[in-house]
Amino acid sequence: MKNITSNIIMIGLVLVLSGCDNYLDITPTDSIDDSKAFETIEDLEKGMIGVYAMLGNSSAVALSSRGGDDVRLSSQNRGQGIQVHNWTYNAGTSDVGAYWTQMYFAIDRANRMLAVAKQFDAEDDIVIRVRGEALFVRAWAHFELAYVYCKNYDAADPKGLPYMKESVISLPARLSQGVVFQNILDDLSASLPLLSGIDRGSKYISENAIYALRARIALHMRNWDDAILYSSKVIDESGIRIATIEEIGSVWDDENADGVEVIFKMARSIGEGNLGDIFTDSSNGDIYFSPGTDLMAQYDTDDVRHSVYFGVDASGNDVVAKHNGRPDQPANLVDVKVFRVSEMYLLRCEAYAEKSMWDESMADINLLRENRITSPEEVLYGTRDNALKAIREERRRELAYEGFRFFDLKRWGLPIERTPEDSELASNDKLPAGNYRFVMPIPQAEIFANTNMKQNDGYENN
Amino acid sequence: MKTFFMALLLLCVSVGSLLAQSRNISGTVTGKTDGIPIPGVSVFVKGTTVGTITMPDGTYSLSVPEESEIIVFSFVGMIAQEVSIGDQQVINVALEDESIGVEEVVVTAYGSKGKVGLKGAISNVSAKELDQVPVATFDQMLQGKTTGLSIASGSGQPGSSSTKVRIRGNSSIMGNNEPLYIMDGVPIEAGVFATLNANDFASISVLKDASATSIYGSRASNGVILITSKRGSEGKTTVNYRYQSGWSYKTQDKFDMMNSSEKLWFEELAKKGPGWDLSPLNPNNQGLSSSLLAAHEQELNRLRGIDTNWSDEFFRTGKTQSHEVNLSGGTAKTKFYMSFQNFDQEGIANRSDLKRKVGRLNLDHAITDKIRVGVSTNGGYSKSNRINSENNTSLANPFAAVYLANPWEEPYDANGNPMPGGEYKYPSNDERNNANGNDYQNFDMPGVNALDLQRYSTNVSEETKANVAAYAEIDIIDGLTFKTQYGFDYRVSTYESWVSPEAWSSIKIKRDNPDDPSRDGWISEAYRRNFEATFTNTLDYKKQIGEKHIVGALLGSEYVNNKYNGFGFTAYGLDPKLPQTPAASSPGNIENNFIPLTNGFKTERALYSLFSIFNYTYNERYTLTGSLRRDGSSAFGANNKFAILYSIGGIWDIKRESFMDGATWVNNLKLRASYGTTGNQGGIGNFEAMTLWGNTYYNGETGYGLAQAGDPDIKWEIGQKFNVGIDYNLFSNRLNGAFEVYNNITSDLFIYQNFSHTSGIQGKNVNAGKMRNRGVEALINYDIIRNNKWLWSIGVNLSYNENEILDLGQVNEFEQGTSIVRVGLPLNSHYYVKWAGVNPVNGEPLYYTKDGDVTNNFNANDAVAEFGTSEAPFTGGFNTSVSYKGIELRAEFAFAHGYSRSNNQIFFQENPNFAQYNMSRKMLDIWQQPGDITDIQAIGTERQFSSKDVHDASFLRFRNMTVAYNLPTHILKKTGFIQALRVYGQGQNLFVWTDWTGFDPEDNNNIAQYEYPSSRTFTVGLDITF
Repeated sequence: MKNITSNIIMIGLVLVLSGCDNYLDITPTDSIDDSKAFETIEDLEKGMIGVYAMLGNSSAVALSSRGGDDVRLSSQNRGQGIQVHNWTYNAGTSDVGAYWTQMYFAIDRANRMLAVAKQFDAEDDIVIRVRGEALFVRAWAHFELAYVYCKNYDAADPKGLPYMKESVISLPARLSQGVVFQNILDDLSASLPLLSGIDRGSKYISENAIYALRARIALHMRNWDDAILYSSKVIDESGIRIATIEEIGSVWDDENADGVEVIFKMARSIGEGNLGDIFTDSSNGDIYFSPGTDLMAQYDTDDVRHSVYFGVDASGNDVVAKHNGRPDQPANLVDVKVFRVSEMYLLRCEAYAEKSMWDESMADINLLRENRITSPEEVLYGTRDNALKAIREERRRELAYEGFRFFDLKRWGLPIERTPEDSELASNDKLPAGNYRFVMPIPQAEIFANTNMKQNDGYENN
Repeated sequence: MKTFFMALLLLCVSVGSLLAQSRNISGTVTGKTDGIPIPGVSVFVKGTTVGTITMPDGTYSLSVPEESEIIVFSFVGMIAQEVSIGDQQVINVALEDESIGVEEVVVTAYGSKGKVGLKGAISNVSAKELDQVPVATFDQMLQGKTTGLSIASGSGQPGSSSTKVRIRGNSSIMGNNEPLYIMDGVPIEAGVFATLNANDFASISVLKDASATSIYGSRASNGVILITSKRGSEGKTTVNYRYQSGWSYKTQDKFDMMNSSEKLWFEELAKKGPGWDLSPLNPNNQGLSSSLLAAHEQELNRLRGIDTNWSDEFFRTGKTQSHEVNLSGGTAKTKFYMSFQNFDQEGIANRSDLKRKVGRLNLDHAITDKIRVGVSTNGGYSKSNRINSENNTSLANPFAAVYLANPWEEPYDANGNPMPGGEYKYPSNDERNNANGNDYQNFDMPGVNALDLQRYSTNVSEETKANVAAYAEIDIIDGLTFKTQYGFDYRVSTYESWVSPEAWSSIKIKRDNPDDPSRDGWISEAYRRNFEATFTNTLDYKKQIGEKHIVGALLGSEYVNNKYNGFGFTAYGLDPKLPQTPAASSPGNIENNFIPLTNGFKTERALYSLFSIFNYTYNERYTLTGSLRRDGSSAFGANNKFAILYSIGGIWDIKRESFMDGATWVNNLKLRASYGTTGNQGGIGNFEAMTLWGNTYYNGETGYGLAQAGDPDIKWEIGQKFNVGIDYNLFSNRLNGAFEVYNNITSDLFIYQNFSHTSGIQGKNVNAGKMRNRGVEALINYDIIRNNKWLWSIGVNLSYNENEILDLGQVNEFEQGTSIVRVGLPLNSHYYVKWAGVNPVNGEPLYYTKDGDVTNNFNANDAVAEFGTSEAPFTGGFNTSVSYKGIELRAEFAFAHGYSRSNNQIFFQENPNFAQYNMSRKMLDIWQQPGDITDIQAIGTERQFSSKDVHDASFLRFRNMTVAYNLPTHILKKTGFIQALRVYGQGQNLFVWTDWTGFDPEDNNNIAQYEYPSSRTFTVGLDITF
């Protein structure tokens, strides 16, 4: 009896002492473990939705609008965006550093999905589409970073960006701009066959979005032929047409039909950020930035854009109305429009002009004006200078507050000049052409953590 | 100095050794368990100083006076035995081990009946010292009791869980610094002690060095506190009834606030409040009729006459009452201890209290002489009402409201009813309005409104706790015992907050923000459940081999699983007739905005360990101890799945060496040394090592977004502990104690490391920091007088701990709140801009720049770390007790020295910009005109946090004084059924000596924010044993 008891105990003890390590495999209930998150293709699709959700950024709109010459500082501003407006930002300014973080995070999430996609059937339609979308996001986000944090395109410029092709913790150095843009174009080329024929409406990445991005990149790289090629593909083949005078208001209320004007926009729901808050506080109506008087004077009286882009608040103050929200929804909540057909016309028009194809160029600018102005005066270029002036003015009018103006002036090598009326409260009225502040500083947190990262010129001492 | 001390000791020892000539008695004293002779046992004739000690072979010889009746044999660590002499000439005695002694404290790891003990730097607090202390949680009782343990209470709320407990300083920078608590072999949650009755505890052991703690593995870096509850012993059942009743009072403030006249004067100066609104100097009052000006003056005079003492409104005498019954006893086979306590304690703030009902049953039964089983159970419920915004700088916190309330506010209306919440406004016809177009202003009444909130809100926390452990123990062969134990610590807490729609705060929200859902009152409830189960199996072996070798070994495995979950809601739109129930809330919709908020979580963690302890003693003189433990935790990263931690130690029993034979005044002298490693896994999140995904949304579709990028390398922090200690008993054990020196280096400390954002994450905690704690500890107990009538003893414990940060990985320093974490400095070093006084020319505050220049420009970049740390390096306590026959007197003191804290309260009370609230009388010295030399800056200048607010917080506290009387046995015998009767009175927290400028220097953090101060408590009590 005694022996049996002790044998049982010894056996029990051996069992207890060994093989219990699997008790330690505890998985969380409140979030999904990496190993279980992506078990099916449907999960992969959900992961891609997560990437879309990461694209929550409107920094380019804020930087361009506040830093350019299209707004006037309001006396109700309590400091919002003031460093951007006064061009006093440094590497520690969060308003100029946030885009860096958010875009690289978006790239990381896209890279994670590309890695996850490898475990599924490469021929599956959804897998193909998700890979195409992720590659597009990677290319687009890198381009946005180059747009904000690099000088004008110069293949030899060593201060390009790290190009992230996988999710990894590393200390990458800046590649030359040439390498960065080659990577961007390669990703888009890889993405194109994967998204061939894909069009799920303007809130999702489509084949047309690839052409629109390629056209924009080509303009940035001063590759006029590609700019004409890809913008024409959108204009002629996408089935998305320019909004008319009657329709353009609905575009900014998010009430336009698919196939009208918008190629790609980021959907926004309640709680996902209010784009219009760049200009006006949605919670109390405080105006941070009023529309610039100079800009408002650029529109003809019968230009529909004036009434769509500008408004007045209850106290009679001018306000930016372009992003002031959908009817019957919280103020300032709208989708963020990324690519529009009108931009395609404008950039093709500019590319034609650069190639001295005056008739083609004038046809584009006048077509746009006919869809914005009730009785438009026909634009006739005459001289090259006149042509560029007309194109640049039209571009400013059409694309105001969409993230272009500041960076267009940088691209054109022009200064930012604010009229005395528009610079009354600001502490600066001119940013000379080519000034280092046209390129935003790399965030201090990045410089601190990444010993291989070089700061942009002019910001080395913060 | 040292020689003087020794001389004094010898003098005391040699007091009175007159003895009459008489007969001789001799014998041998042995240990009951092992039969080995014990040298150094003191052998005394009871009631006299006649005595000797046993020789190395355990023998003694003593000549005793003729009339002697009883000889007392005593030895530390053993139960003293009294033997009637009768006509015996040879008296041999076998002494039984006492469970805990002062000599080489041995605590049994893994089970109270185990064979192989833990030896090392362990200090003990016995049941006697925890008995009936009128404090609801036992951690607070430990202050000043023993070395190496520092206790700082964070709140005077009865049952508060905010006590800071540190063993030998802070060993982690960003992780957890709480010790591991183990009750009857089962780990219990730190800080959740409101539903435990300290009267049930037999002893509390504080485990400090590697030899004592390494066996607890990856949870032991911060030290271990072992609690052993009382168990029954064979014999007649004893029944105890214990009653205690007491009163708590607020202690004296170290500052004065203004009275009404002073405050109204100040308001006029600061151009704020009715003192200015009604002032003839106010431009709004220019050109008013003399009758109206006279009415203003009359109103000001009325206000001057109010002078409310707000302490009377918010504070009270708190009452404490406790009834307890406990029974213990047993047969040879079955032993039990059971108790039930009903404990009620009111705090000194209105409404705050704790009501606890807690019971315990400990049962041990021997099925055969080889198989034993038992259970330890503790179950209880406690409910405490709490003040609003406890320990926060908020006007809802009564401890803030008392001081910030204006003395001219009236708490009651003319009929003696409580004043409804609201604002003060001069009740007047509108002549001034008509004349100047300036209406009278509204002024907040912080005192009245805090009282109003107290009436119309509740804040209740309830706790249900159960601790159960069941064991079975089987002697397999001689010397080998198998033990299995399963135990759990279970706790459910609910926290309910309620604000009536009738409260002024609700009315004000409704007025100012009609869309706010809380405008019609709100109720919220948070529910938390913690369940931790521990399953332990051990094989325990001890054997004497031959004459000179004793070997002990323990092998074990342990599985710990913790499940923690919770949920909560906040509901709005309450019906005022249905107080404090969720049923009172309105169903929410878009129109009424009363949509309730809900939240919740679930989490789990497991630990699986294998461990062993090894002891070997040679010739009773040299003991080698070692331990080894492998911990696997579900929280560790895949690349660091197991923590392997070990210790090695040696003990040299010097007294047993032959060269000590002559030193009869030495009863025990042992030298200990140990080195080993421990871990700290408290800072690792349950799933920190895993990459996790959570729900996100785009365009109404659900997706997976990255919630956390896991780190497969994350692992425990490591503590390397080195300790040398001496245990001593001298002069017939009259002088005893221990000295310890230690050097603990904790490395792989969690530090937040920033990553390149191209990595897709900002950064994460990595194992990169290094910190050192080194120190010395001294424990000295001395019986100054010890005879059959008198016992007068003193005890002193002193601890010094020096903390220094050695490495922070990627950086050399980073700011943490108002402290700086910097290599070369101790943790929690204050980091402020240095105050340079007030400019006599213009009243502006002045500061020092980093370079030492004086400037009027406050710049946070000028902060320096010159103001010490908020962690006290010197802590300790001392006590003395005197007993004469049945009367006992005991006094205890505790101190903490050499640290400072930031007094956030004076930022409000001594700030010219906060004139809407009452001010400290120091503000009467405010700078008013050029040439004024003062430390109080002028009206209108900006008040900044600076070194002006950092003050020395060192203190000495008269913690406890007890006077007790035990009724003599001969009187009790006449009752026939009362075995013992004790009456006593206690004073707790009687006085504090300190330079601190707030209420109480003691707190659990570095900043004073109107914390609920400790109260002064007087109790009387009665213990009857049947």
